[in-house]
Amino acid sequence: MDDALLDEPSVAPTEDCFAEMFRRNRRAVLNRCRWMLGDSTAAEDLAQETFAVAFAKIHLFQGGVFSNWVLQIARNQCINYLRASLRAREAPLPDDAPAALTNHPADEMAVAGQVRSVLERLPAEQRAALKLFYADGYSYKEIGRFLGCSEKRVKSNLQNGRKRFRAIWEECEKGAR
Amino acid sequence: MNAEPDRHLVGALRTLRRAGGECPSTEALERYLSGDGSAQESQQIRDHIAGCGVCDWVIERARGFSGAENGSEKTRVPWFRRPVLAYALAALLAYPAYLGISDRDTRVGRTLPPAAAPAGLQPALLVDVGAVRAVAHSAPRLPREPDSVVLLTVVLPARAGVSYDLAVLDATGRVVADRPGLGSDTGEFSVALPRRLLRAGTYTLRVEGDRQRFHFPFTLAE
Repeated sequence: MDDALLDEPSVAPTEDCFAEMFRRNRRAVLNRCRWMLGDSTAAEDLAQETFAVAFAKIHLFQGGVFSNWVLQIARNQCINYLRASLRAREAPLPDDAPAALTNHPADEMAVAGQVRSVLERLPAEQRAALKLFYADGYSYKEIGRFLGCSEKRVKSNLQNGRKRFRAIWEECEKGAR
Repeated sequence: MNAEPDRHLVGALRTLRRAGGECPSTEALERYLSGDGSAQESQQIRDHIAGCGVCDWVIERARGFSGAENGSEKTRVPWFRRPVLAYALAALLAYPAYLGISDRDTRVGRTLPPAAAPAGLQPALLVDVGAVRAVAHSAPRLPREPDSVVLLTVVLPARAGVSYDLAVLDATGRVVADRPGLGSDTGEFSVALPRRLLRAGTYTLRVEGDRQRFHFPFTLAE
């Protein structure tokens, strides 16, 4: 059986056809979930959930490569799961940060732009830890659960992230002079 | 230590978080990841990610595996690496024996050597080093049998047709074992290590390839 069988929207996928697609794509879906979640048990659950959703929504499949479609569903399931794993914050923290070095909103946005470009050069895990800690005020424990690492590693990511941020910032400052 | 960059960092992160607004919907993130969103929507999402650690991380993990979709496509395999040739070769070698052309011991009353004891299955410990959430809380226990095997598995956004070098490093950074040139169509890698190479402690599985490097720390207990 070929994926092309499902390419034609006029062809109604049968249960046998779906079973075959499940067999072929189960491993890819499971691996996608394992990578995104860092949790084998949750990945198994979400992989099953993915196929349940795919089966329920098979009428929405517009043709194309079935595996891409089902992997998109898996990705959405994982995004929802990850987001739900952190308790929702109604709003970002009030701005009780140390006094900014500038009081003009335009300058503040300019500095924010510079900070943003420096942050983009940091490793993803350090960058995410910095944002979750400073912008949202999550605890080490909450960040660790979300990123899938220990509290010790969160602290290390924050420390190394700040250190690296400083180094790049100062490098940029020197370059600008 | 210069405190000025730290002050900029904390203040700017909160400014970016406020300016970025609410988290976009899953559908909007999906459009962004697939490149199907409008330029305006993509820019809004980039502005949001600049201050939001949740969406930043979610996108990082989701984007990392985009190669897996290519992995499910059929890939070209060089003719000399096709399994059919291996089967053909095996059949060619086995055929003479099947026909009886090969020398056979036909002596009557020959005493057969005593049957070897069935090889027992060696106990193995399976460790999913990518399952960081579980591993962080409970370190798997090494099997007691010195002949046993520890099987490390991991999933990562590998590209089909690309070879990756795997190495297991101990806490001091010394390479305990390495497996160069591994490939995977599904993003899944496994390394079997003799138990005797490992002791209780912290290790890192390092995977390098395709100009990327991944580190998966894990802990083993006695």
